[in-house]
Amino acid sequence: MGMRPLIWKEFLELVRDYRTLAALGALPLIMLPLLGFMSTYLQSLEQGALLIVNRDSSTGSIGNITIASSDISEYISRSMASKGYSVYMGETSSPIDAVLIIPQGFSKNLSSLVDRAYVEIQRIPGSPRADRLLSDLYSVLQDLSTYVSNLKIVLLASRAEINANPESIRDPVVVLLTTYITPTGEEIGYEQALRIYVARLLAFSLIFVATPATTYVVDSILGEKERRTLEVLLMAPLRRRDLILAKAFSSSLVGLFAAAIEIIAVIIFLQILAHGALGASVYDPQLVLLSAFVVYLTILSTLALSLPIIVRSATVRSAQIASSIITVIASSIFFSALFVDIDRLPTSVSIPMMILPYTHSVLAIRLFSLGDITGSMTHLLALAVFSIIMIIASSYLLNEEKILMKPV
Amino acid sequence: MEYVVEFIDVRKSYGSREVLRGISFRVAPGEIYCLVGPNGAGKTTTLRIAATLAKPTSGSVRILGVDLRENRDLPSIRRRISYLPEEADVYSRLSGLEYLRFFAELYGLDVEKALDIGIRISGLSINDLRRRAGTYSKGMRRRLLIARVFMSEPRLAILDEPTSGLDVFSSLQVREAIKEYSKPTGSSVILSSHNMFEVEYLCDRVALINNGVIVGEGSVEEIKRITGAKNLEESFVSLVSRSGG
Repeated sequence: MGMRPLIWKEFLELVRDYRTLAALGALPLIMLPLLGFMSTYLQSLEQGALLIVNRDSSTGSIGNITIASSDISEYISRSMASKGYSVYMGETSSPIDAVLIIPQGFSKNLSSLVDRAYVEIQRIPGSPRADRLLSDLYSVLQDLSTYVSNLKIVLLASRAEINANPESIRDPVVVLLTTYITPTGEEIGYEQALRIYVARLLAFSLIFVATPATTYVVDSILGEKERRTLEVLLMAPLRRRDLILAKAFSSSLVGLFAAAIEIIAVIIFLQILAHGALGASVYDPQLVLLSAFVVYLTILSTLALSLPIIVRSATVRSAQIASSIITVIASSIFFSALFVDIDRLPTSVSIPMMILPYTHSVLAIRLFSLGDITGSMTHLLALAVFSIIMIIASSYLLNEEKILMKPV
Repeated sequence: MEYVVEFIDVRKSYGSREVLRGISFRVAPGEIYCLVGPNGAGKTTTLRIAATLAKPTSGSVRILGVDLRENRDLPSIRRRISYLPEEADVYSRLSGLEYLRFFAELYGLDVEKALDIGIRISGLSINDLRRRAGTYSKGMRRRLLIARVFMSEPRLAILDEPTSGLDVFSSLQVREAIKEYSKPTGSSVILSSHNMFEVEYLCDRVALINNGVIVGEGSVEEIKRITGAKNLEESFVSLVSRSGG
């Protein structure tokens, strides 16, 4: 009888708390598109700078082709410039990310059938910009190496008077095709492979929903104490279990709101990825819907985990500090989802991790992206069951006398 | 006669600190019973125990004929009690009407009838009641809280310093509301107050409490006669001094 008016009262208070709603709505709407923006466009805006120092005055030849370092540095410069890098020759006062040094004797060694030619590279440490530049530089040097080795193979073949295909000598083993498969060996297309990548980012993005959840449930219970309305509410003819259930359910309405916003944010995020680095559409309405469910249940389980702490705390501050332990645990699981396949961990590690609801959040998204719908639904169910058990258990921990006492 | 409230040798400790040291009193049906005492005397703890929000460390407490030690169905007792804590406030994002409706539904009352009573007791206009309670003055909030207490026509109303911090006009309105709405509904009232004028005006019987014990009890006239004082304030000082306070 008493739960309905209490939920209604909480709902009215929630929808009239415009500032909290605005903050809750802004968080995913800013964070997810920002994440997409950071991981695609921002990187493409970065232009690394390369300095090429040519110390070689030697020349060489392969057959009737002359090899000169000046031509080679010009080739590298053009290739790197075409990829958007700033390239300086000899010296520069501009900031640079890497230096390519062509040492004395390079052309001679490059044209030799006995020696190998070496270059030196100096780079800025710990710079993703330098990482990307070097990755492209290695690719250009690899092309150069392939070109020169082809010349040498053609020369040797002509001297030996044999018919030879440079590629069959240089790269006798070729990977014909890389396709994608699920852990069960099922073949999947490129777009689904991208969805698995996106699912990993979505699991990571749950990091942004756990913290507001604890804040709202702390406010819903202990905030009443600070606003001096709790004592009258506790006096109402309401069973403790109903009171806690109503508070938890109404706090989870914030989760519903956050989940709705999350859907919009995820769609924006996917569009950014599709137009950015991925170059293909990864928008999947089912994945978006599942993501919304996971957000709601993650929030519900977070507040269910916080409740035992909250009902034994005397102040909002102490409850929030204690609840921050939960958000730290949540963050560590969601962060690890970026780098670790939790479903592929050894059972000695993965089974203890199942105690935590957040492992189920990550697995629900990951298994769904891999096409394991039953597995995904099982983890969603685990999240829901865990939340309900924790909420009911919390009602037995509520001590009216203690919660009303002034902190000393 | 079945008393509405019956405390027998009630003790209450928080850790090593004993707040109530053997309190006994009875409140009859329809009676306004006042607890008077200095700050920290144990008034709020006594009222919280009567409101079933705190458990005594020892002693017997019967509320509406139910022994609190034996009864675990607190919601059924609480449905017949109304409590106004000293520092209680209203939900600032609800309107006055929504506030009263919320508690009427929470207590399972006939909502329309309860609202009728509540609106009358509050003395607030419909326009005011439709405004968010966060915009109310302290006096308006207190009148809304008093309306919430009496709209359920409780068997027992527990009021902890109901006029604390109010100006003269608001105090007068709240006192009138208590007097006017407790008697016709037959509600018993336990009330704590520092205001001796209020006590003289409202209370049928008074208990003077100091350091967790009742040092004097009776009607206002009886207490004045026992202590030989001209007014209740002097009686209070005399009794507290005698008890070593």
